[in-house]
Amino acid sequence: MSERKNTAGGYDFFILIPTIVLLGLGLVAIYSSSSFLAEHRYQDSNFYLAKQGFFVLLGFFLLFVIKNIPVEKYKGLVYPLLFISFILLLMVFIPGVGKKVGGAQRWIRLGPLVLQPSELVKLSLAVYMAYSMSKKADYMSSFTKGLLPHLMVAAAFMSLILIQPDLGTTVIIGAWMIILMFVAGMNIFHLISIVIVSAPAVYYLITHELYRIHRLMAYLKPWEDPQGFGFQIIHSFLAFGSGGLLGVGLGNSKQKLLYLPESHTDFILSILAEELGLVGIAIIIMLFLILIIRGLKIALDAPDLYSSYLALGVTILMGLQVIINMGVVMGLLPTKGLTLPFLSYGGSSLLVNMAGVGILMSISARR
Amino acid sequence: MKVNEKKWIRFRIYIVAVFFLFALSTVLSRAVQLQIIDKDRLQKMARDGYRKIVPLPPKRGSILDREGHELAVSLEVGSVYAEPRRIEDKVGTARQLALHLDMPAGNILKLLKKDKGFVYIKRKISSDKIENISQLRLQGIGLTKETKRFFPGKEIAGQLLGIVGDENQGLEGLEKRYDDLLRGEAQVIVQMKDAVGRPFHTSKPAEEKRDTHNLILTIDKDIQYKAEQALEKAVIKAKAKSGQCLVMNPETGEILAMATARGYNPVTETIAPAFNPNIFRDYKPEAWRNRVITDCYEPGSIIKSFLLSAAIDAHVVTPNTKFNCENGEYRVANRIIPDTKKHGILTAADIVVVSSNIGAVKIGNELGYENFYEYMCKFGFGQKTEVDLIGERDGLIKNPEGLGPVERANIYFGHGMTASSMQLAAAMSAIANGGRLMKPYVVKAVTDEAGKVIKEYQPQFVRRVISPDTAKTVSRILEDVATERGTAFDAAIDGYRVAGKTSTAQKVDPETGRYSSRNFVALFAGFVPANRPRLVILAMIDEPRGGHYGGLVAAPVFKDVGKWALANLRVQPQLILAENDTVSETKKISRGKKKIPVVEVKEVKKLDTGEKRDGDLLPDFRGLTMREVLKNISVLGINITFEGSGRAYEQEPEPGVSIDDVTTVKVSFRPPA
Repeated sequence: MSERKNTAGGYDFFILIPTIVLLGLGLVAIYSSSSFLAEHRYQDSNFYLAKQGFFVLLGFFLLFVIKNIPVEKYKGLVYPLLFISFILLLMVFIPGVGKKVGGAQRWIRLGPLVLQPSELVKLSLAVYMAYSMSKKADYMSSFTKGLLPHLMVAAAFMSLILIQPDLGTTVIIGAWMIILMFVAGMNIFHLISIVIVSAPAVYYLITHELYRIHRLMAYLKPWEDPQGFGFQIIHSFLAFGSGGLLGVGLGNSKQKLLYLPESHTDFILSILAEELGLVGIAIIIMLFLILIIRGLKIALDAPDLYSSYLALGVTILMGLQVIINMGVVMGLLPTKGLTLPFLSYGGSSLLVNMAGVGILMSISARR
Repeated sequence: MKVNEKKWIRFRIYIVAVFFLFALSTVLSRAVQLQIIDKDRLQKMARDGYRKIVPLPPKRGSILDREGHELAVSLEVGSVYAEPRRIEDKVGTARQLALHLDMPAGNILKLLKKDKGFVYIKRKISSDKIENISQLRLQGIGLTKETKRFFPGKEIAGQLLGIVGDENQGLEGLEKRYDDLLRGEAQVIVQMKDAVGRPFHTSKPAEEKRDTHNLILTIDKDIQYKAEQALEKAVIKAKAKSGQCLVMNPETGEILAMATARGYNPVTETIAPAFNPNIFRDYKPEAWRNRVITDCYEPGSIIKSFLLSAAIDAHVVTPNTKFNCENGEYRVANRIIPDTKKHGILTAADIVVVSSNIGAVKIGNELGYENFYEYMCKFGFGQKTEVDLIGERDGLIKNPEGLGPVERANIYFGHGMTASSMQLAAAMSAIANGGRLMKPYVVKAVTDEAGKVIKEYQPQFVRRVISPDTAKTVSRILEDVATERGTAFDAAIDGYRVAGKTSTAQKVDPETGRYSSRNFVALFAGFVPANRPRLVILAMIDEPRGGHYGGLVAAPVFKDVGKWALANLRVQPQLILAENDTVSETKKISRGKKKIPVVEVKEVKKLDTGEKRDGDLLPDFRGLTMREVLKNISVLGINITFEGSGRAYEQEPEPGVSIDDVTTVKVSFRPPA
């Protein structure tokens, strides 16, 4: 019953407060890192802040709506959601609707909004997996009944995302599926087999795209071409180093002055590291850790298997994105092009993550 | 079904939790590594990345002549460079640049197509062109500023001035000698730049910057020019190997001109290409060294004037002491001392005037080599004059120890010893100025950037060489050299008393080691006006072909330069007083000319240029130089026509008529006396 204190009024503060703090930090960091770029590109230093601010408000609205809808209500929406996601994912390739940025076709235009369907896919898949795995709870260790259907659904989405191309999201979805199915009782032998089978495929994909080789090289030997493929990761290192223990202070980052590419999106943590130092990074890591542990706790305490898996799916998805993004910006993993939940600039990702938080809080309130 | 009911699911969720805990711990340790352990290294790299050290175009002081004419100045110019890899529209960029640079677009395009990070398109172009190009805002095209050394006087005094390297460092000549004064500090500003190169913070240049200074030389640009011209003429005429000319103020040691002419080219029938700064790069030192100080040669007969000075000063002889000149053949030990003309009995004075070697040996023997050596050292031979230039040589005068009679005899008339033109001119100055050896110098003053004099170099008295009386006596004798009777009649300048001494020294043939019968040094060094010398002029022609006598080859240079310099310095022509019964033709002529009234030189400021309406009358231009006339006429708004050159002596209409009636003034000029 002591749990109830933290969910007074149905709001799980262990979830809500870290989310709000991270969003706040994100807005500050986005302004700091993007104002110069925005001025440079659009002659409006508030350009990115304003857009992100709008999405934060929209995100909170979404969060409270979802929080107040019992998760069982989505069960009927599983297939429509999958279907919509799939269509949106296909629309990416329609000329005039799909939007290409830097060689990758990941966005679609819907009126004034630009959406990234792969973000919605993550959410749809989370709901689908929770629904499906709880339904087939007893057959999860079986190959044909437990593994194959999920694998096929996931493969359909993953291959579409892969040809955008977005290997990062593909890999993250794959990893997420594996972890999720592992928890749900997948056969360890199957798990290992999948990893072994997919490894050559991933290897092939990496080695047959020049930019992926570069990214890999940047990861393995960043200092060999500091002006070339190592440029981004080196400037990320420089941002971390410049920050030191206490940071150079909010707004004082030098690497944001167009040195560090994507400093307001994928590499926003680098700017935060420079401005807030190791202390800031430690706090951010703690906040994410609280969210993840709390999410897992909610999964453990969930009233039913479906809710449990849904909470688990949402939490693991967020957690994976956090550790992969952080690993990337600190040079522990090859560059992926993944955003950091709540902190990075990007509307679709933010809305999906806020929806995820809404789901967690909804489940939490109904324990 | 609740998860709680399945223990293994709980366990697997714990594993997931541990996985995340582990992953985030890894990330945190990595942050510690980057932000604490590698902090210093990364921080430094980051700073190096956004901080750009921008060198400022270094300043360099000007070199001016004694009247403030610029001889060497630094102007700010710019360079255009490209970063070819950043240029997308190479053709368009090349075309645009071609419009502003005098370069074909094709050449520029070739540069832009190079697969390089950086390439200069054009260096050292004027700053207004830089301005135009910067306004084009071409992608991948950058501009820098630097300085370029200009020599407004073209090749004037080239060897003396020297050159400046690309890094603003003096490499030769005065530029090198006074580099630390001329060179401004290589200043840098630290700019913090964003990744596209726009500065967002610029440091101020350091406060305690080193000042650049200007040099004011003792050189007179006009005399220098005349010296170079006259020398060049003489070298061409004599088809000589090279030539030197030095003009000095004997009272102070100030050097007014210092010229070295390059050799006659028999193919082009001119002397080697005019001097220009590239000569330092393109030719060997032989072509450009300042021979006046760097080349020591056997000076020949000119030494007789110092020998006589020493002998008179030591009271060994008087000008009238008679010597038997042996009719042109005199044996010292087993050697015959030759004379060019046979002389019988000559006075000590005449020995110098007619330049008898035998007579010189006899005077020398009377004086004794030890005394002679001592005097020669006092005259400054065998040691540097310490003129403020680089590359000066000592020359050689052998000390008495172990010196045989033949060698001694040779040295009395200037062989078997070496001296530089600078040393000879300085020694001649000592005779001219009453016996004082002055240290020659070329830098008169140092000014700061604003032109305020911060250091002035005063004449430096080195030592007394001979008594004023001796100097006066020798001067009188040397005056006779420039007469019909002497060896240098061609040195005589109408209206002025000239004193001096010729030399026609055989050169040692480097192949045989013996004196050559072909190669001579023809030299004349003298001073004018003889009674109150203003100028010491030395002219030396190396290896003249045809006539080789100093009086014929070198004396005309003295005359040319002297005449011109005297006018330039406004030295009044003088009536030459008859000292003896034989008044030469020259003196008669000059006396005749003296009858032309010399118009008092009027100071420009005396003319009421400021209040021209006040007068309304045409001013008197007579006695003014062309430049001064122009200066005055410009405020009157009337036309002028010139005739002749030199100073104005006649004008039409007459001075004093009302300006309103005058539209054109005709002014006639002629060289002063």
